[in-house]
Amino acid sequence: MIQKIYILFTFLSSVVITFGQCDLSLAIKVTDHHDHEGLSFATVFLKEINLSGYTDSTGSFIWKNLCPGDYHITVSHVGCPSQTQFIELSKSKTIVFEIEHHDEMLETIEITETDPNTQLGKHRSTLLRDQLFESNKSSISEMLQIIPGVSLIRSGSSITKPIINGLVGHRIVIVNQGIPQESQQWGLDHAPEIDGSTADKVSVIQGPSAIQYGMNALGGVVIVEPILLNVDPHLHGETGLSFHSNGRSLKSSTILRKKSSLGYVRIAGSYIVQGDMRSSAYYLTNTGQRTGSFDINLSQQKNKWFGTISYSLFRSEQGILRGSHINNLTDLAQAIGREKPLFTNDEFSYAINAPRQLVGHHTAKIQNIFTLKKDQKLELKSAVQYNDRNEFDIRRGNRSDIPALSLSLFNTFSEINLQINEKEKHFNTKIGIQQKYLYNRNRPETGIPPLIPDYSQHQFSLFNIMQWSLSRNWQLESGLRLEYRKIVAGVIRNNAVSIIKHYYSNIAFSLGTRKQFRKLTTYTDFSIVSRPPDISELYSNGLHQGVSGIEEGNPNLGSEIMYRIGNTVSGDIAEHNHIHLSGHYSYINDYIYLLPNGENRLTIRGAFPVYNYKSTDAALINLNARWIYDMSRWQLITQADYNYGQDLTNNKGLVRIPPFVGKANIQYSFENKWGIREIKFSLESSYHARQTRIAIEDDFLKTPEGYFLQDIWLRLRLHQRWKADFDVLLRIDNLWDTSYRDYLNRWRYFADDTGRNVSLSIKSTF
Amino acid sequence: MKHINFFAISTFMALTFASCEPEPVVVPNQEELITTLIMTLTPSLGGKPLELRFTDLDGDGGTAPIIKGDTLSISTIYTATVQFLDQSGTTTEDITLEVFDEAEDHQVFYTPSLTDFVKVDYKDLDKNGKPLGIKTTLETFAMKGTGTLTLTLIHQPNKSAAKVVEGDKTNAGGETDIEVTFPIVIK
Repeated sequence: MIQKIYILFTFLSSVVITFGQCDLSLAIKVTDHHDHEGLSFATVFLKEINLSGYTDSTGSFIWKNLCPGDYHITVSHVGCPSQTQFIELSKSKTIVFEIEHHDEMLETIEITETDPNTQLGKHRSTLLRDQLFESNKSSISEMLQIIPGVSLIRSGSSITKPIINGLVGHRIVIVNQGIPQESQQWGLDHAPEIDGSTADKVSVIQGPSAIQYGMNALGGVVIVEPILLNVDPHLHGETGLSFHSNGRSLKSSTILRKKSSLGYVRIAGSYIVQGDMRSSAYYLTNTGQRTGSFDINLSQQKNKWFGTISYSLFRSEQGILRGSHINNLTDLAQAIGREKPLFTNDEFSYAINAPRQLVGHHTAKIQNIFTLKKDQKLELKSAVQYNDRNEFDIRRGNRSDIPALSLSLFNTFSEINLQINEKEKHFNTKIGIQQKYLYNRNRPETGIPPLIPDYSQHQFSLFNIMQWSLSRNWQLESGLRLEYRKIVAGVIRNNAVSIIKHYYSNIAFSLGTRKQFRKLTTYTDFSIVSRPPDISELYSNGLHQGVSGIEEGNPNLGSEIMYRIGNTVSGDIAEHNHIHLSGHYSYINDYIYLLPNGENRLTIRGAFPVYNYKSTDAALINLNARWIYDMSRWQLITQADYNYGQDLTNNKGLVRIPPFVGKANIQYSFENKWGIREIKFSLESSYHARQTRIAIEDDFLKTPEGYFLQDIWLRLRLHQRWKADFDVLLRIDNLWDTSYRDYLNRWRYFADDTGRNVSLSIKSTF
Repeated sequence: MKHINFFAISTFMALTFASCEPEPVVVPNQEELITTLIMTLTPSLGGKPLELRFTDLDGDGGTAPIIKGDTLSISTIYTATVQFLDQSGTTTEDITLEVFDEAEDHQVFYTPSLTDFVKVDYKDLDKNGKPLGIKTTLETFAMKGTGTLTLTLIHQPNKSAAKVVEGDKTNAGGETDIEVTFPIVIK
């Protein structure tokens, strides 16, 4: 919840040193990021001499009589994650730590000189490892849920996708280590293949800087990134282990960082073993998972060059609730709305049987940044991704081990961009060119006609982002993107193949302004984005299991055009009172979505409703409000999110729009009691209202009732031991074991959502 | 330094212009496809066999399936067998054999539009002693009229659930592999 934004090194006037003489001083200044005022009572700790102290009322602290050498400084503040900085002390120094003291606001300006991935991101919400630890969630989408305006679409408990302001799937881009992730994101039951547990930083950006990542960024961009560039020559990192009662899962993750002769190395890995989840009343049979990830990153900085190479692997096997697997409408009528799903086992099991998904994702990246002049940087980055998705159904004749859907997606991405930061003229710009190539293959061994055809896609894009600081409190930002896309699809109809080509030219434009009034910041943006239809929207063909419908694409679809205006106000309204209010209105011309066409197609397996991709005009309104009352030890966080989606052509509510959600968290923390460095307790309550805006003909069942959940957690930050920090988290989700069904969980037709989960996590940072 | 940059830039250029030529699209061989269902009804006292037939040679979509019913006589017992065929290719494949092989995991249910319109009894068993439903007898009563008979092949039914062995699929669960409704006339 609290984080550093960037660290400034300020070098004091040069002091002539004589080697070996212990007369150096090291001054620390800790400031609040928002008002740059000193933060008192921050703990500062110098590891090498094992001395700690507190900052005074101006946020300052000083160590005197230090010998030249290498030091690790740790700074922490009540409720903040500690930050450790390595320095080589050869002369007296002052180091300024800027702490984001109210990061629940999650609205921060981030322009860092050093971190290549975070440049130019004005409208940004960031989560750091500390918050990720407290939420104790394993999937990237679940972690994002803390950010205002983000909700989830789920298939059970572990297959989750983020929805940003009511937009999901093709309308969101996920950027992993600077590279837009390419996988089979057309499926609402296809979770992004990214491991959140080893991410250092997860952010959501919207507005002008988002469009550099693609036309699909109209909903927003999720950025997952490691923190690179640490000059520390010692081995550091963290390792965590967590046990969850629900699903009897064990999750482990490790991150190691070290500066070596090769450069700065970061290695991360994680593994999850999970069995059947449980609702309050029964086991959710066949909902286990095995997920693992590995990530290696090597970066080097020399003079005017910064380079990174990285490779990451993600592999996941997920069971699909047995009772959600149905064939035709008759089966659906049988399975739907039951008290307890069909095929429910009374025994817990770690086994994963058909139906199941097995997904692998590989990303290799190379990135170079050259500093051409003092204020100009040239960046080249390229990546190769390979995504392998296999879905297994229950099939006749021992075919359950042959995937019913088997897709391989190969992707290359390259970008060249030039960044100019003219400090004197208060002007920044980034101009870039991108190339993307996708090649999707179906493996014919499935013996089933493909749902998505084989295709190749070439894409060339140009983008430009500009920022002006008109005054100290007023900034302007614009973004422009031009994109050309060519799709060649090999479509199979009636056992005959036809090769069909599509060409799209699209444009996106966005304008934003940020103004600061005293301690309040307002951000207003306006965007026009046109998104070409995705291959699934053009050529889906076949039966989609789990929804028992035949989905048909529409090759005549054009691009959808979104016009959006939004305004956000955040900051301090009074002492200890922080607010965040945001509102967005979007009008989407030719919004593409799936609608039943009223026909029931007769097949040998019975009748199936036919769904077609159609375009309509739609309107979306998103309102988010958050208020934080912060009394240093006590913290009260209340939040409300409301989304409204309307199909303007047919004059009815849009499907899959999150209903109203209200949250209230109360946190209490204190330091240095009972031999524990920091104790933090939190009670989180949330109310999820019923989605009442869905037309009866657009859903199989009435939307589920609203529900109220409470979670509690206790975090103990222990004193340093064996040169490491230890953190213990005890967390109970769904405290009262409430049975409920969530509108955005696709298994709600068949089963209750998960019941109580008690988890214990231990993390050590060294 | 220089050679690293050269390497980086050449990799970049290579990736920028890399693209595979699409390989030819392969139409998958649909081994599980059932295009044809034939239920043959032979009067037990002799006479010309009747046939209920479903055909959809191009599979789902495309041309609509043809469903052919038949006219049965009153108060007659018919010996009935069902056949599942794949006739999409040049040769006909008999999928019934696959169902026989996995008899414990399958059961055919027969549901008339009116109870006592016709009565179907199982004449075959799987190795657990539970009905399969490929071989049956169908009995008509003294009542004349028109109606339908729905044939359902369920994969992985719960054969131990109440009334499932009697041919009532209400509690059977499982997934529907086949569901066809035939119009029939009883004269």
